[in-house]
Amino acid sequence: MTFLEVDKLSVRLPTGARSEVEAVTSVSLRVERGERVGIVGESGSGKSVTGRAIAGLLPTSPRVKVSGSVRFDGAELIGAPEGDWNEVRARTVGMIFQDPLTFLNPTMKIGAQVREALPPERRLTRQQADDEVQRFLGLAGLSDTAALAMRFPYELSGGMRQRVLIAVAIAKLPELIIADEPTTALDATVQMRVLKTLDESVASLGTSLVLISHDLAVVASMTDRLYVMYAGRVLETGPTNEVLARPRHAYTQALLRSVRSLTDDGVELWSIPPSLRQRFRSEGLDAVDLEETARAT
Amino acid sequence: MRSAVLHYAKLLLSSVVLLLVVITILFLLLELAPGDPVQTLVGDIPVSDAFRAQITASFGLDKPLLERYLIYVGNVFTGNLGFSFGTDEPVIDLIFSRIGNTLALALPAFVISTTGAIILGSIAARTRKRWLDGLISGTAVAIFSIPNFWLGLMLIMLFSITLGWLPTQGKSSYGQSGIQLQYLILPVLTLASSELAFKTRIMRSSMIEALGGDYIDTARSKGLSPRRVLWQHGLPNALLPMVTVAGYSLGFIFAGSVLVERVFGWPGMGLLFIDAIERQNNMVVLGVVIVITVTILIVNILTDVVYGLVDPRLRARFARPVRSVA
Amino acid sequence: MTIDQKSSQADQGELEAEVPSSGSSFDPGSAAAGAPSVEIVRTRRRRRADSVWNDFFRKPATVTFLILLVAMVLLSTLGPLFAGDPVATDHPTLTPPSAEYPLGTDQLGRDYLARVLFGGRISLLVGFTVAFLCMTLGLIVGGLAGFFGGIVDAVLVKVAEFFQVIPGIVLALVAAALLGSNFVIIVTILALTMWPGVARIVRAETMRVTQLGYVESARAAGFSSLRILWSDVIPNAMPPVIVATTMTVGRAILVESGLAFLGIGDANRPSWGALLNSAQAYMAAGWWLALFPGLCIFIVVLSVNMLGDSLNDSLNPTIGRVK
Repeated sequence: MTFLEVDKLSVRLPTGARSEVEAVTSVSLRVERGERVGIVGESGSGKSVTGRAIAGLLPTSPRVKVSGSVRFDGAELIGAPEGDWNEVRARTVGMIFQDPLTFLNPTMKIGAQVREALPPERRLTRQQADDEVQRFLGLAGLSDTAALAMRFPYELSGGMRQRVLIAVAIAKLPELIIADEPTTALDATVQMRVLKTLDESVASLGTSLVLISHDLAVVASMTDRLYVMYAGRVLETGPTNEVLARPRHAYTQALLRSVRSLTDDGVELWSIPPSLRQRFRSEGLDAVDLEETARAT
Repeated sequence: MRSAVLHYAKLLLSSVVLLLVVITILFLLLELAPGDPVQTLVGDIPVSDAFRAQITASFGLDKPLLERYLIYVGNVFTGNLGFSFGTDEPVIDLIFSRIGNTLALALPAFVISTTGAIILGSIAARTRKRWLDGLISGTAVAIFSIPNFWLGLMLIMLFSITLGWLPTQGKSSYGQSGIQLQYLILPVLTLASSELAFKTRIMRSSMIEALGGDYIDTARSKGLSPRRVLWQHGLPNALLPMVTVAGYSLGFIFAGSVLVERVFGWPGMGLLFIDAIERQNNMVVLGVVIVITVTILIVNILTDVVYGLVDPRLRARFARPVRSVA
Repeated sequence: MTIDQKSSQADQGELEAEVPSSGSSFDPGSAAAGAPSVEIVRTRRRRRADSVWNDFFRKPATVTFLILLVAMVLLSTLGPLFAGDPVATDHPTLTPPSAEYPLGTDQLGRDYLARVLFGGRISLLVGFTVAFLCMTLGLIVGGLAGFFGGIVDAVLVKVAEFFQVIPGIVLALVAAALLGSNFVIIVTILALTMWPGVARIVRAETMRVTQLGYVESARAAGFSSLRILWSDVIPNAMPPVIVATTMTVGRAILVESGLAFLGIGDANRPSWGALLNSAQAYMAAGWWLALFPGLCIFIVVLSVNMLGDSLNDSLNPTIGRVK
């Protein structure tokens, strides 16, 4: 059975006192056990919202509307009571967020924040829990973990804080890790190292990974399969190498062209013109249609 | 550690400077007041020549301006706040004999208003029931808009005169010394009310802010129960600004007792102040102002200390930052 | 955070944290092309000025309290023209409210309705005058401080700190005791103790607006600093300042009433607070004497505070901010 199946997921979010927007429209994706999947797209594409919807971490306002299906090992979560979602978040899904400065509680010690993430049914004594905390901090690439656990987030550098977030995510020994732009807020040099740590953690624990990013390079090196999103829809999907080397959807092609224009010499910077964008949105052409088109031809 | 010492040294220094500014302004007001300086200090009641001589000597009233100023400042810092006319009592003794009664009002009012505000503000921020939030917030604005002395009058009219449950004035029955509980209720309630309203609004804002923080997402992602998220993650962050607010509130409660003591005939520092104003016993007036100022300055320093202890970011400021290869 | 910042936030009764915005650097064109920007970008929330006013005037709270406030102002300004003589003592003493004397009569046989209406003139006049002075002074000093920084800024911060240490009412009492208690002195003292609060908010807003791009471009275009300040910065900084000014009206009326209650004020033209002072001795015999002036104060201050709150809410909606 597929580990994670998302079927026609749609999310409406409030954007003001009286307005709403459909942030995610009929998105379908799947993740097998141990698989690494990337969701790539520009800001505003709905990739973050998708990731949060899978973990049930959308705002709790009653104006948020989610429809479709999210199934872990066949168990449906959309429409399920909040307790079920909490169970999933406590044991199955770990999430790594983007900006480690604001995503860590400034008034709580690092050790306490990691300890909170340990699953309660392990029934650890305080000493055992502390040892586990240090073990996970170490797995996340941090040193001097005993002293570190006693510190507060403000005392750490950006890269260290992101590693703490990684430790928080893996402390529950999850089956799936969702990483939402985990390195965007970091310096370039630190990015590489943190990504490497993420890579190693995922490999050693054997978890599945959903990596959300706008950075094609990040996704290229870390994922097996790729979903390309734009304006709330999945436009293209396939093995990562395939999609990046031989993109089928016009949007993906345009995206790659604009990225390459940044790195090629002597070529003008190219960005996707508004008329083309309009076409992508109004045509509603997405991955499903691509499959059918491919089969038809 | 050194930066902590530096920080508090600066705080102490600026407090002393503020006190000096207050004293200077009071001195200038004295100068600006029409009439002869001794008269200003003792009011319109004729006084004995001996008393007049005592004042003149003590405050150097026959000396030039700058010397008078310096003597005045010196007097304040050595605790010589002058003498109350008529009784010839040193002002400072007079004040200290009454300050206890004011504290008996101020401290319970502070505790009630602060704890009440934390509870109500948290409920108002967290609840999904819009009507409950509206009720708490609306009531807070309403109470905040009531003049607290009028509230006192209304409470007296209701509970003392009409219902007869509680006494109308004073701190204890005739002939008894000390403070009796039933006399305490209405004044404390009156004093606490507008502070409670004000702080509830602030706590609500602060809690909304805290619950909108990104770290709440992280907490939820750990599968923690909503209750735990509220208490362990929301509340500590929401309480931080409240520490400062509570500190200022104590200072203002102290000063606000002036009106409440008048309404309830409560023999505290506030009533002393008002009586002195009415009788133009100006040395007492100035003395009270100085004591209030010093109290508020001390409270502000204490608030800063407490805040520094409570906010880890400030504790971290005084520690060496941890750096390692990330 | 400095005490200064915290207090100006406390003044506003609304705390906002500035969280770094987490926009993607990949393609700024997406926003321009109108792609639904759903990534929750967190910046200090501000809405366009016209939508703020639209929202404000549509709220039921605004309409209700605006009507109430206008009614009270009209009653106080025009009412005395139709009411009786507030000082004539030829009516029966201490009669409760009735058809003939809607608010009863006081201990000297004066028509209380007339006294309350006349009292309203003083109370409201003080309140609005002080608020106006505070706003003017606050705009000038706060605007200069926020825009130019430097000495003006440092001095303003110090002055504001000073007025936080000494409670306004205490200072007002001392000054009134020493210098006399006529209308001008009271208004001056109140304005002096309250303007730093407004100035602080003006300063904070000015600093925020100054950092926005178009100030720099206006400067680059060669406009003089004062011109930029007047035509660009101040108008954009206004809404929170208006909120603060409305709150000041309420506070000024409350402090003035308190002072009047303690006997500081013009004896010949008693404001609502002064009426309450005389009413104290007659709490048992004449409940209406204490009820009505206080009720009037309450209604006016409540209306003003509710309006300020409503405006603040339109500026910074808190709906949906809790996760």
